[in-house]
Amino acid sequence: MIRLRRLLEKDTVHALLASFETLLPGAELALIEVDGRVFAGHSMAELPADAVRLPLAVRSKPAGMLVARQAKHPEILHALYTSLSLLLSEAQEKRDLVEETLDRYREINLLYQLGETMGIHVAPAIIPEAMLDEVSRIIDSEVSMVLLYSSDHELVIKSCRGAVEFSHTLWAVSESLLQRVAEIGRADIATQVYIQESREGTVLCAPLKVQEHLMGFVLMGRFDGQDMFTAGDEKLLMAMTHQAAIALETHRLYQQEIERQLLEKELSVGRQIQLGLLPTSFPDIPGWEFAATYEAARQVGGDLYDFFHIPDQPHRLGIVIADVTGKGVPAAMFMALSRTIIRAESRTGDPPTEVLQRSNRLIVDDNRSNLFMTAFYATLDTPTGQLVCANAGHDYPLWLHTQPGHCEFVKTQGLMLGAFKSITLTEQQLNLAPGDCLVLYTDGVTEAMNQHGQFFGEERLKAVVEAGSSATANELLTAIMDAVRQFIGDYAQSDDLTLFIIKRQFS
Amino acid sequence: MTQKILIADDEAHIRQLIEQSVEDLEDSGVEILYADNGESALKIIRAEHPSLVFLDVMMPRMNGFDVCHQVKHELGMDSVYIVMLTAKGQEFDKQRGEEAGADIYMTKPFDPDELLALAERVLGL
Repeated sequence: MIRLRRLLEKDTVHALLASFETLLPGAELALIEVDGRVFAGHSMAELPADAVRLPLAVRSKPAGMLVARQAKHPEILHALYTSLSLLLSEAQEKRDLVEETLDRYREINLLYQLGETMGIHVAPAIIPEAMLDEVSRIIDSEVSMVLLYSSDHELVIKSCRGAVEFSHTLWAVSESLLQRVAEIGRADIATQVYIQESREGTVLCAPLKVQEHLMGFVLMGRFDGQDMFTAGDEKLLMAMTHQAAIALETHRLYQQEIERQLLEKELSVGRQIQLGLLPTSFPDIPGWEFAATYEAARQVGGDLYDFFHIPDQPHRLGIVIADVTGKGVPAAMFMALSRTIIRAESRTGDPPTEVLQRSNRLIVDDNRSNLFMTAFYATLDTPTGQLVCANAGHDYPLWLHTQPGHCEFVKTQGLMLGAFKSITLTEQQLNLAPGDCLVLYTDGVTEAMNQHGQFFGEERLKAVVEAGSSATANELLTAIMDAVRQFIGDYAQSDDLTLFIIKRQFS
Repeated sequence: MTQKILIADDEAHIRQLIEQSVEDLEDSGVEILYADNGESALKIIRAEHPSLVFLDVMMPRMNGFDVCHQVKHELGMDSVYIVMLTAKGQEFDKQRGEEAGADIYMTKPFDPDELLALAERVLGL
């Protein structure tokens, strides 16, 4: 209902009526509200029968009337009526402006509040809910919902308001709108959408995105003759989804940081386990040199090298190098377990094939982590230089013959440990002559990568080893490590790097 | 007795925004009064005993804090509910508002719905 008192200043109207009454001697003028109350002018308890009634209107809606008694000059009365109509229309325009400003006030407050709400909600599950709560305060719709991409890139409804039974239908009929919004990266409206036969409507959709990262959408539908969504709604929803997207993104980054810290912690635990198990020194065995190094990458792996005397056989040494697939604490634990098993199995002094085959069975039986390992195990008879070995899928050791000074890879094949219940390995025997050298390593060495994505590779390794035929074990180790470091430059390595060198001295 | 609301702000458009936010209360018999400076606000409060006052902080002649202080402490009219209005970005001196006895403060641009809800609550409507 339009009320004159909300549109016109009482004093102004009084003055206007009074001035017209002087132009219309003997006339009585009054402005009456739609509800019959006198707004200004003569109080007329009952409208006299002889009164002229001129209905006033604002945008075709009744806005009371001008009542005149004994106004003898219709043209003057008409001039008053015209002035009042003009005043009313101007006042209404002003009211509209105020109303528009109040709407902006509402929006600003809503966005402000949304920003605060989003800031408080650390739990991402609450963000879609909170967002729809706020959105529905200012943009009406029959159905509204938040769709978010899950970790496997599937869209899922995270929150829904209104006629939830139509949520899936609305989603289905909005497929092309979603695609368009994803492409253009901003809100858009689709018209003539049918949620059911004969139920036509409009759909408003805004993306939840931060920079180029699209996290999902907000969808809102209006049907059955509800007002269409406007460009203003579109703009507002875009501003609101932007805030929610930032909140979601902030949470994601926060979560990522926590995970990174946990991983970091886990890695450092893994590293400690691993380092604690590697031999720190080698026994002094006449005629032999040993050198080993282990360099951890940022992500700790499950590299292992080991070295021990076979019980009751003082001249026989057990030598192991192994690499667990996988990273972190699980890999380190697996490595610790495998080391213990291989050590225990080697106590019998059985040939390496048997030791590894039995170890495999024990590892498989106890393998709950789905990890595997490559392993090379050898026994070395120190007085003769006879080395008996078996290889369960590990990188081929490099045998440097000092006479005549060339290298060869010891290509013994076999399946890795932990994958199959039963494996059969082949035994190989090498006779290390004085000056010969056996270089054991993990794939961290050959697969060390430079900034161009190239691997250090077996050939480069071979070249460095051949060049070091007269070097001591320690010198050769240093030469190989230097070559690898020079090759990779500043490029961060993803894998651990282990090198184990056995050299028979010239007698 | 008619309940009254006083809107005191030197800016006409702000008065109008507040008025249009609470005008529906007129249907419940509430009367809306206006003042465009601190002095006249004080005069109206003294004479009309409004139940609720929207009081702009920055006003000519007498600022909102002083008006509030006079009303609450010197005139002893502490039943008058005073809402201090302050511009966003302009830090509201909470301590000064508290000392002056303001009941609550709101920042412009205010939320019209919140303003109306507050008025209804204060007037018991």
